[in-house]
Amino acid sequence: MRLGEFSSVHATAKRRIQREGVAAVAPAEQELRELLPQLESDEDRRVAINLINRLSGYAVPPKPPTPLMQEALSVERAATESVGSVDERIAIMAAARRRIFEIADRAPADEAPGIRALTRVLEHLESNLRDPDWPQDSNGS
Amino acid sequence: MAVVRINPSSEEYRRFVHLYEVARALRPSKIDRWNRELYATVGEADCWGSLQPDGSFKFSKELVFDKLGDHATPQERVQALTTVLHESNHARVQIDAADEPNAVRSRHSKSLDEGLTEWISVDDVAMFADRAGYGELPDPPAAYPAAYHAANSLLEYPAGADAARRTADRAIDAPVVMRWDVITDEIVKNKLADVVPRDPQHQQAARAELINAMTQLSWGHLDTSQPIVGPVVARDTTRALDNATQRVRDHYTKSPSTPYPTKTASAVSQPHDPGAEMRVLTGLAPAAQAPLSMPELGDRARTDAAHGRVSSSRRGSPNRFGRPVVREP
Repeated sequence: MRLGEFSSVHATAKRRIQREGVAAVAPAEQELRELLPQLESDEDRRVAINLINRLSGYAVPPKPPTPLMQEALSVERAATESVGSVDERIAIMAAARRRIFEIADRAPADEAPGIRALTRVLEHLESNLRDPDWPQDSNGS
Repeated sequence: MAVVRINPSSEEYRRFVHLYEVARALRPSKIDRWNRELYATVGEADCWGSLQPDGSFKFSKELVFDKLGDHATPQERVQALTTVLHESNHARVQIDAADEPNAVRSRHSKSLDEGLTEWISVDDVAMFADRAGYGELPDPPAAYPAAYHAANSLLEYPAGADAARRTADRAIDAPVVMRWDVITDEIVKNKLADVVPRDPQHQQAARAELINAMTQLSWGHLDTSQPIVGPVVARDTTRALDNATQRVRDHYTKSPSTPYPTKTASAVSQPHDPGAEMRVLTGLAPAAQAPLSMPELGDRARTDAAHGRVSSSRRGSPNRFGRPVVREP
């Protein structure tokens, strides 16, 4: 088993724990431990054990978004859902990315990177409007 | 802002190659779109970077390259690594898929590509970081862009949350234009296997109808760039897929041996449920209609597509591809 395949099982277990809480931790840990012998190397097993050890932490509900994160999420969502011409949407997305970085600049050091990261997808969608893979789709020609 | 080529003998280049190789080992692929050219943007503080159409990678010095070194907080580092993993995942698949009748060639496939790639990359970054020698890093905050939520909604639709990652693993391996087809294949397998015959013609027709459920009305709004992802789209996608699934089921209940009569482009102006589909379809891919103005992908264009581009010079040429919807009732 590749480590990437193990990560798929781990990610599914993680989501189940996030939905179902602490009762789902022990079965998930056992399910994943049983896969360890199938991994291809001791290094993969080391990483896999570290992933298993993280599972109990997912039973704790994540902290709600801070006001600054909420503000950034709102800006990102509005830009993504914006309607208009291609040029208008490019301008909206670029402005939203700048706005989110400004919000991040006001955030504590441990929170700012996560806020900035909201622009990773927005940046790509904006780039695709500027330079589309399928030009006929986004300029109406 | 300046763009600087990273010298292949530099520490930054070697560090990136190591990360790229780890990413590819974790998720192997025969496709490798990186041309081994690496660039840094310097002083462009609000761009993370991307895989360029020519096959090169370009990343922010401040947000990515500097944060992969020794002077970064754990959260800065995990976001830099997520960016590298996200872009590496883009490089391992083709964009186009020649002669596939259910290919969706529109910006909406790009949106699903982005949401799916971010979804997978956030899932895998802890493993990626540890395997690459960065140790155990904290999870990124549980706050995601709209495209992530839209992808999550689609991935959970066929068989629930526990099967979402399996669907994602299949979809991320498919060419960008075929991700919709993979997801609808999971829907057919999980929700319609009792009525849709296993014959490929029936399967393709059923998938096409489900794709069209997410695509129809945006064709009427080509003069504007419509929203393409988001919570409203995610919610209404479920409703549109419920309706389309029921249409396929109703058809095969009545006519089990006749392939689903998917609509032609001219028939899509009458939505089955305007309230739901108007919102969905302004957002998602016009699979049925895409070939109407799709570039002809001859050999040259296929070469372009292999490098991540469809030649704009061929815009509007008659298409040689089958449409995802080809049969009249």
